[in-house]
Amino acid sequence: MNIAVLIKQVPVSNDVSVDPETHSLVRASSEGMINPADLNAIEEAMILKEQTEGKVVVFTMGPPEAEKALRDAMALGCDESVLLSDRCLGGADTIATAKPLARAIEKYGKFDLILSGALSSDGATGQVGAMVAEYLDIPHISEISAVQYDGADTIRAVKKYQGEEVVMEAELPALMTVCFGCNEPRLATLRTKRAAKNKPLETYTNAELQFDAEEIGIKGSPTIVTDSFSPERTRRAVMMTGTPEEMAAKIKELIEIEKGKN
Amino acid sequence: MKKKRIGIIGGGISGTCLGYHLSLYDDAEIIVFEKNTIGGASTAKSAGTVCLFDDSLKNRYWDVRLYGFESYLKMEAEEKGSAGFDKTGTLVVATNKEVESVIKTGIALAKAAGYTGEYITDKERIKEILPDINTDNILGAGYTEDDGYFDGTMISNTYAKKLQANGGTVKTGVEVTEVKVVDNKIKGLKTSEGIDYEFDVVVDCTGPWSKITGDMVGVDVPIWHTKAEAFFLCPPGKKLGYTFPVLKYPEFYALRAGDNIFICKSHLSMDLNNPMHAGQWDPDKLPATGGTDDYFIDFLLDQLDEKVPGIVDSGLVSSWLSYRAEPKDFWPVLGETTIEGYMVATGYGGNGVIEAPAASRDLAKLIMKGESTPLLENWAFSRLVEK
Amino acid sequence: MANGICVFAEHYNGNIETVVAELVSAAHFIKETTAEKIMAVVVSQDCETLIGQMGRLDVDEIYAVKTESDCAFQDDALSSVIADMIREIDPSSVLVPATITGRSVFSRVAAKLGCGLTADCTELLVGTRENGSYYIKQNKPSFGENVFVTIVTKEGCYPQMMTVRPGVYTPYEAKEEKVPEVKYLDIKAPASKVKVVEKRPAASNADSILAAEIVVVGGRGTEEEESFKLLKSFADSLDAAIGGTRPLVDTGFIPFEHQIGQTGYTIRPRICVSFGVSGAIQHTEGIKDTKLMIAVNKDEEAPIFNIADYGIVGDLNEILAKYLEK
Repeated sequence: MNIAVLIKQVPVSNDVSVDPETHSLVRASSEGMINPADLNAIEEAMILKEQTEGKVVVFTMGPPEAEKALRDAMALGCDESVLLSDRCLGGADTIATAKPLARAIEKYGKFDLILSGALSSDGATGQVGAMVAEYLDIPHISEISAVQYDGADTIRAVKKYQGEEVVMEAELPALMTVCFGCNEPRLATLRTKRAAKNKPLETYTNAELQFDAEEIGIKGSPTIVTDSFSPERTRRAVMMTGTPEEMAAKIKELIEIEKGKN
Repeated sequence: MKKKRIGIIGGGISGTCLGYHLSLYDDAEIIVFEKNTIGGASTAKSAGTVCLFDDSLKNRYWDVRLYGFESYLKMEAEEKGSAGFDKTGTLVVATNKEVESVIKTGIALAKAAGYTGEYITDKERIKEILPDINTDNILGAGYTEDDGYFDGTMISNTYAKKLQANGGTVKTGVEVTEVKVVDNKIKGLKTSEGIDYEFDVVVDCTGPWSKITGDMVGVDVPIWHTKAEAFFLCPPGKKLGYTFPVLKYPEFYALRAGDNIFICKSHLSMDLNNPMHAGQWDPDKLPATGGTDDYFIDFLLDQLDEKVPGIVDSGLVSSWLSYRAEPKDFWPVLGETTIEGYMVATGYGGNGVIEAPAASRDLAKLIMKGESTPLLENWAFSRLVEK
Repeated sequence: MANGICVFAEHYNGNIETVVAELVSAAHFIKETTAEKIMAVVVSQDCETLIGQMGRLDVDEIYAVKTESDCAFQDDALSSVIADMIREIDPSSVLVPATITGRSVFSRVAAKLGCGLTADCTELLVGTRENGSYYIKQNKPSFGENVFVTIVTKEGCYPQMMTVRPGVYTPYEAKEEKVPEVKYLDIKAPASKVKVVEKRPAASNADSILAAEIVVVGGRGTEEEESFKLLKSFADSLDAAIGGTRPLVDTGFIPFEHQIGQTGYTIRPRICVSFGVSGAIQHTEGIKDTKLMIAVNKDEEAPIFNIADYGIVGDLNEILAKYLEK
């Protein structure tokens, strides 16, 4: 089974603020890492690879520095990688991100399964996976916590939903988005890190992807960010006082409210 | 009694330890300014190894080492966990004659102070202590079971509590924005709260930020940054069946962190002329985790393959990068500067946890009594000023 | 010309989700300025029951498609039906619950329609263009909750489609029942390539601090055996995993796998309740992206209060004991 994994490089720290004058983002650090849930997707891919043979190709779209995320993924066992990088792809919303990813997957080869993390730790839209599935015209199952494959032309997945586990089956090829924490991602070692430097990495620019300028990047994005601002509520806690009994009741109430939000 | 007003910039190990030692004087009025959290920046990334006879500090400064070690033992005895002591013992590996002789002298000093220590040449015994080691190409190893590593953040917070108990003040989340100097003499400082403070003495305890801090008063603090690149490794079997000691080689050191192993390039292996090792960077841009260079992976892989092959295939759990503040000669910078009343306690270069207690003890004496000590003279700011 | 505010009437097990009434509140707010109709779309085997539950939402029109089978979880088929419905209704905006189903189905709808989909909005405001036309300012958090951004669907691009976070708007409830105009659309669901095989009760996640939705974190203040027992009972009552900082791991009450912080794991639970954690950097670096974080500590200056949503200064033993009494 050949598997494509879609990953995103996210900032190590969400410590980002907004310059009150220019409204541009001020990042505490520019360090990037693989989005945490994508590590769980890679782990699922590795488990399936060990079970079925075949190769795992990891895709990301981003600036040239996103190569680091691909190298890290290959240090975890992914065999090959593709970096979609072109200035004209920049500033894309989820639609204009999913389109090039879908085309890159089609161009690279035939895949039985496509995996991605369910949500990113920065934007957290949870959309790109399902959109890629739509552009590829294949079924998808989102936000799953386990995959089971028995060699047939279908694949099963478990989705946690409102206190239940729903077992589903999708016809291959299919796409699944994997929840953070659903497995324990393996770790790279010094040796696999070094080996990853020599694994294949292809870069796709729009010369390979062949989109019209209106289809991609800012131009191809139906939505645009017009402003950014710091939240009024800072992370400084709302302090509560009272008797132990009152505080115990308050804790209970707060947890109940959050749980009720589905 | 007119009190001496002292403002300390920086709430890491340097600032809190100095604040504590000053708070022992009745006529000291102390405020520590920390822009973030106590012991939360480079101190938090310190390995906290305060060992009886490793290579971190020359035997010439045995009293500095012993005073630091015993200060923390006392702290830990007063309240368990307050210095974060993990008594794992230390294994210092001799790869050449020179290192061997330094270790042997260190062991003699430790024993004279009442601690255990031995120089082992029986390679089977070395392997009993650290089964994953390769004993080829080594001469022997010094070992004691009495020491280990401490937690710099815990120590800083304990010092901060102690100095507050003694009447001092600690302000966290407050950044010093201006240091006021009139006629080449310190007047006070201004903070991000918008408050003006008057001080007789201001001490820069900002470590890697010292250049930036010095710029506020026009003092050029001659420090460079060297990179402390560290990894947390998860051993191949997830759990080691033995207590991993503090392990010291001239090139790197390692210690346990829970079931993981922390490993870091040693500071004396840094080359100030190598741009991969040293430079002037912005410590505010340091990420909490990550940031290590590729060369470090190659370096460590080669080192571990040769020296501790049993853990070379460990999983990389996380990594971090920290900046050490180093003057050209790798010794700290303490005491008076060219501005009257502006002092420094910086440049510990990754040895802050070891050196701060003795250095602060002496610096407090200088500030409060005007009396210098041999240690302060050796580590004086003036040694670095071009004549 | 696109017109109308359309709300997706998400349902499960025969019930309209509460969040739908919340979105209707947002729709009424938009209507105050734009004076557009509010519409709801519902796709189900049993539309009548669901429509019956929407009597107090004060929506003007309900568009319904009756399917031959239960399409729950068949996001490929559902998205096809809904895309066709939206093409026919031609609303100016579509409000979707930011739920597992909402974002999954409407991501496909957005791709089919070539319109955008703004995720997880916490505030919707109406703006006016120079030509007098209205648009929706879609405010959403980013980078955890550290930044809020305003997203706008480009002029001429309809519908403006967005998911709205549950729990932000108060559910709408009109004083009187009103029967909205119901229009059944003749749209057929295509065959889905996904099917539900089985539903079973979810297993507990409490043994994994990474997978658990709720994590209870103990610090130095829970080192005593009595305190830890209380912490454990509290965690059990919530089916929560227990994480700890180094002092707690050093006691041996919890394994190293449950150590949180720079030397241990980074956890991202939805809910985190910490007891006796001071919040030095090694610990707080290990807890990220929580939706609710409550911290209990006896020291009101503890840095943990800088990252928590709610802080309680008090004795954790007393509070836990009272909590468990009930």
